[in-house]
Amino acid sequence: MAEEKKIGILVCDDDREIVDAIEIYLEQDGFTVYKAYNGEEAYRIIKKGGIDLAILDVMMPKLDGIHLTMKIREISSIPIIILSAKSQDSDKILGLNVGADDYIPKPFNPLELVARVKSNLRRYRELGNLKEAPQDGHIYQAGGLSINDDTKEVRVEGEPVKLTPIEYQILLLLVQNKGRVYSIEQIYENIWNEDAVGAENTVAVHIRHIREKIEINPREPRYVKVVWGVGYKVDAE
Amino acid sequence: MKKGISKRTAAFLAVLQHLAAAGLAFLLVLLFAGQTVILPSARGNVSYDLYESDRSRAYEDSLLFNNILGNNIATVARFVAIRSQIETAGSYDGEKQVDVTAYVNRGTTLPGDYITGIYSVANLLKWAQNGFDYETRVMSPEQSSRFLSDSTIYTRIINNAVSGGMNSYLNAQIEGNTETRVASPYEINQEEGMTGLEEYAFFNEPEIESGSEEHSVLVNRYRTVDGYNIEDIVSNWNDYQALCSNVVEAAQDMNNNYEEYQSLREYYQEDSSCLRYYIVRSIGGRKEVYTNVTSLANEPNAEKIQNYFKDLTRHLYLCPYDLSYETDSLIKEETIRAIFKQYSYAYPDQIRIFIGVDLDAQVTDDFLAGRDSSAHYLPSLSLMHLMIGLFAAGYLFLLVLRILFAGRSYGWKIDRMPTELILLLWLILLGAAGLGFYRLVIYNYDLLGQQSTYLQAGCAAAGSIVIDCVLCLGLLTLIRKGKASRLWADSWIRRIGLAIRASFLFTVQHTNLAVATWLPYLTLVVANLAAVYLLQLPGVIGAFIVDLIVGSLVYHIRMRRREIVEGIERIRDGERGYQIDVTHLHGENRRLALSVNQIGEGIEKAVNTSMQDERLKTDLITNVSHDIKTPLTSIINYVDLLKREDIDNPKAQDYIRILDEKSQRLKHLTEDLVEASKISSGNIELSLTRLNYVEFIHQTIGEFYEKFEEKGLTPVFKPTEEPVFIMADPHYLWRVFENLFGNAAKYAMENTRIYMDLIPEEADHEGIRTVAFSMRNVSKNELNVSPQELTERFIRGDKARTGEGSGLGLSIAQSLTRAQDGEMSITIDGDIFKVTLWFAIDEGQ
Repeated sequence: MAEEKKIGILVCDDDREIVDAIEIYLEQDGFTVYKAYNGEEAYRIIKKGGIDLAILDVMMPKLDGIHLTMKIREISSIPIIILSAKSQDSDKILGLNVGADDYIPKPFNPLELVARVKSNLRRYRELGNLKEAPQDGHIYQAGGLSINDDTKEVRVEGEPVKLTPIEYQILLLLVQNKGRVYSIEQIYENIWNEDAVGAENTVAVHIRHIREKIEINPREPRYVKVVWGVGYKVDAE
Repeated sequence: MKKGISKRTAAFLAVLQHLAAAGLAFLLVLLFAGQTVILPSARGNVSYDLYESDRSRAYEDSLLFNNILGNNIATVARFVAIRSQIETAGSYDGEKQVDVTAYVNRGTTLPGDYITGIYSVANLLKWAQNGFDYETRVMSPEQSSRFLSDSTIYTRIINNAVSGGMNSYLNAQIEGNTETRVASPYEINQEEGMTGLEEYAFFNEPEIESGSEEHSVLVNRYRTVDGYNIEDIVSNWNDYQALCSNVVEAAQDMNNNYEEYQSLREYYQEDSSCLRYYIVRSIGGRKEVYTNVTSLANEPNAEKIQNYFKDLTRHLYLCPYDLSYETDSLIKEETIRAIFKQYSYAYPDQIRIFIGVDLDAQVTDDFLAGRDSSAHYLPSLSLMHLMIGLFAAGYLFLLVLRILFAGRSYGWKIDRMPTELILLLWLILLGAAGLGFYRLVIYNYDLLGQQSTYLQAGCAAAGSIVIDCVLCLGLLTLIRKGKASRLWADSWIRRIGLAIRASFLFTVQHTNLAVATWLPYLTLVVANLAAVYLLQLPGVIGAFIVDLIVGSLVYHIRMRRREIVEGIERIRDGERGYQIDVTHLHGENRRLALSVNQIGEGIEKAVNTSMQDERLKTDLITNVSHDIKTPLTSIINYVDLLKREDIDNPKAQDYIRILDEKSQRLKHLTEDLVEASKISSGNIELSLTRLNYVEFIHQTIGEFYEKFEEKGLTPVFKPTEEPVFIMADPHYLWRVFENLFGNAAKYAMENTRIYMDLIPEEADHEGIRTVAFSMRNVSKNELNVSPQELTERFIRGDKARTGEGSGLGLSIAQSLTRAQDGEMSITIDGDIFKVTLWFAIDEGQ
């Protein structure tokens, strides 16, 4: 990704050390970081403009993350990632409902945070451009994942990933049929063209391998998701 | 009192006491045996008493001597009476004539005319010895009259010369004092003055007996001295039978007397007895002398005879005719008269009796044996009394001693028995021992006889030991009980009394219950009985109707009670808020139901409170976790940043690595903690969906493939043949499996296999089938914990709590399983760790 203009990211947390750490990671990836230590401060910065993405803590003095998000949404549609020590589902849902784009529980893996930031920026940019890369017969895309069937090249967030032929075929099958859930048996029959007898583990293991390669956090996959007791799928965005 | 005695001493005392009892019994038997002597006399052994007063007298003046004399006089009186029947001139006379009818009636009076036969003594004796034969003959009246004589021969006593009664046997014995007369039947009839009616009967008799009749005929072995057969004397069958029976009776009597005569004659011979007798009687001028003094047999001088007897040790003389009696013995006149009166048929008034005893005779008889016995026993009597006294005193002393010492130890088994039982057993044993003693010692007294007095005394001694043992056993047991104050405590009477008292108290205290239960019941019973008894059928019908009503009432109450029971069961099964409807309940049932409702409310309240507490706890944990997470975020981030710095110092790198690991662990811990408390407080929302269990497990295995591979673990899964569907929340089920698999990955021994099965189970009683998933692995560490502990929070296979996990995994898994209506169990068998999950199979669709 060749960027002419530096991307500005607002990081707001009442814990200065966390803000500083995030700043280090983001600057390493070439982002410009704006720091704020409470909600009002953050809101002021955003109002000034030049912010492409905001990372907000939920529990902050003066203005908490949820209300801040609501206020930001009144003036801007930039991606907002909520950071919270509250990892309960209800918090997550509340955050996403009021307009946040992503939710990362504390304590978080810094690399995951960076990956989420990139992912959210890409999605925002694509939406903003209102143009996805043409979905022709040979290039398939699902979020930050793109497969070029001509070159047999797989990229995640632009980064090439090396897959074995079987893994490639499985991923291709799922990406080609985004949103559809394939059971282990179906995947096996599709890829190996034979009855799946006693080969169930093989598919599950391949899926796992794929995830290890393309997901930032395989425990919480973004691309190849498990539908427990049914099969696997790649979400259609 | 002393502090008890040793067992040895106690046993010694017991033995001493039993010995004293034995000695006492021994002496007592000797004493009693010594008070009687059994002497062989003319008619077998005779028992005589020994008298203490005799000790001061000479033997010939003793009571014993006079008792012996009296018995001998009685025997002699009989002996001489027999002699008079059998002898003539002092010796046996077989030719002596016996008037059988007079003989048979010798004790009474003969009729004026009587039918008799005169037989010789010898013939009668022989006849009796040979036996009497009868023939049964059938005779027509003609044959009868031919067989019997035409007329009856009657005998009549001419002169009643002998004093002592008309027509007596003595008169019949006088020669020539009888005359005979032959009379025809008619004559007899007239003479006897029969009434008309009897006449009629008599004359009609031949007509009645017109047919032949059976008659018992005595075979005439001997004839009378006149040469008659019996049938020659009588003219009718009645007289014939009477005479026959007289002949038989006379012969048998005579024979018995003859046998007695022989033995007595032997016994009372002059050279074998101390007794001397001389009896002379006069019958019709005939003088008969009976004596065992040879020298006096033909002595005519009465003076000389009298002197002979006066010279003997003791003598007596009786002459009823002169009313004279003299003696130097203690025998009284009326005694001797009474003796001789028994044989008045032999002793007329004209009789003189001399009887004497010569103790200097060189013979062996009862007189001399009696003298020996009294000489033998009497002198030792006082010594015996003294010894008996000593033994008795010793026995009593020892008994009292043992009683005093008894009961120092209460604890023998026998002492625990109920008092009445001990008493009963004691009495039974005593009775048995006493009976045995009686049979052995007292009952056999005569059989053992004089010579066995010591044997008898020995038996008594042995027997008394047994009795004494039994006596002491029971007595001492009771005394021990008494001393331990258990006599009353252990008694049945007390227990029964207590039971009665308790039931009485219960009745008093629970008058309502007792009255409510028993009064109606008894009233009903009495009413039923009264109705049936008094009113018969209507009463039965009425009682039946009343009983039916009462029965339905009872049934109704029982039904209501059932509702209460059901309510209790519902509360028990978790329906805590359930309230029993009390609107239609009354009395006891209503009270019961209200109480149950209150209990239910109490439980509900308690459960709510505890749930609230649990929620508070969860909130607390969650909040604390949040507060930990924020600084932890910084720690993790800066450790990561540190890692990125170029630090050459290997030590520093190592420290950073440790920081990294521990901060990651802390992160897991806080996450697990929050989750565990959330789940255990029921603070999660489930969305149950139908999912393919087999597929799910395959996926899980796939997810964990790398983790297993790292440790060299090989999962071996044996699925069901058909897909199995269950209702579960996919996310939380995954959390369950994640924990279980993660647990296996962490704690299974490296390079082993992990076995997994999925097995559908049989339908239970509600028709629900479950499927069991089980997973077994070999533990890396020793499993020294119980399965329960493993599912308790913060407990892990390795108690030291090192390593990666939080220790909450199994607890979380179990809680989540239960939240999804499943069940999880853990079994540990050595190093084999096995976890099993059960879920209901969803058969739908």
